[in-house]
Amino acid sequence: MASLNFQLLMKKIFTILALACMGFACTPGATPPIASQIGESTYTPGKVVWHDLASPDPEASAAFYESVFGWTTVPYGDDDKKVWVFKKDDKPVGLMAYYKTENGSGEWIGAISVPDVSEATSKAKSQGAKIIKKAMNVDDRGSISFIQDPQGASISLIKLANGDPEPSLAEENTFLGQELWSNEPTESASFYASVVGYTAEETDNQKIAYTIFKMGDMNCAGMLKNPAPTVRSHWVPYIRVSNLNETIEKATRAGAKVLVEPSPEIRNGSVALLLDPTGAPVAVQVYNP
Amino acid sequence: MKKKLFVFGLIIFASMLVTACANMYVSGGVGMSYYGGPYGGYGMSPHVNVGMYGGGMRW
Repeated sequence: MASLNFQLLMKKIFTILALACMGFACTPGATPPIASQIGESTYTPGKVVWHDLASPDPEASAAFYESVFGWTTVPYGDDDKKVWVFKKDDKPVGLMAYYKTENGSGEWIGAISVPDVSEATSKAKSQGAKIIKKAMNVDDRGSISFIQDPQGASISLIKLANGDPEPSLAEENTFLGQELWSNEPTESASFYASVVGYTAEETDNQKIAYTIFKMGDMNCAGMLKNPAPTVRSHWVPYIRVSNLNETIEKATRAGAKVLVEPSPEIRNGSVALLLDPTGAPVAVQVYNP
Repeated sequence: MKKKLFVFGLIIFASMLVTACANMYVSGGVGMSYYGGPYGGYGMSPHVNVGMYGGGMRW
């Protein structure tokens, strides 16, 4: 009788432990509150509404963006489930995740708002994109996928759970938007027209060919022929700053390389292109329309 | 008893495996194979043709 009771007790213990293990395994890591803090209930399809940093060295990245742009870095989750939200004045501006990248460098990946992420991702695949991560739902964020377009540029497609941020001029030290540096602009224009619905407007008042991706009357992103011809196509994020030289000085002190110095030839000296300490390209621009 | 210990070990192993697969995006790099940034494979000294860099966006 005592043996039978012992066996029953052991069985119960095993069952509880097994359920506890499976429960722990299936519990998602802490998800940062993003959608609820940036969403404005309406959607602006085509706009780049979010920015993710894939970093091989989150500690170095955090130190850089904190010191140069005054962001704070808030960790969520534990151990290998950890992600970091960059905040400017308590408002989320981007999310960082650790990636042990094969070439040891990082990259900002913009998220374009689309009405249906699964549908847009399928369309992207049919147009030759590589699906890095198929559409998935993330708590307090929404539906999101990651792709590499046919020309090799990384981008994500998103439908934020609570709506997109209201289109407005970016505050200083936050993202103005993204610009595609494409090795094949014609093909890129065709791809994004098909997947996102952009119309491509060629600007005729510039020294070089420059395309604006639009949705109706709304400017959503820019595109130019990749000025770094040996580098794959990629999107370049722009951060609005108040003082270009001061920003460059802070950035170089924090470990950045200046890839393009300010020049009167380039947007009246208002822009510089940096590589952050992990090699992620980021442009800084004084923009006062 | 040995069998139960084996089954228990199996459950622990399975739970660790599922942990690795659950909630992939939130778990940072897990679940997404990412080669790296565009400038990583070029010795961090890529050439940008400044003459090709112009235009501009009305954000």
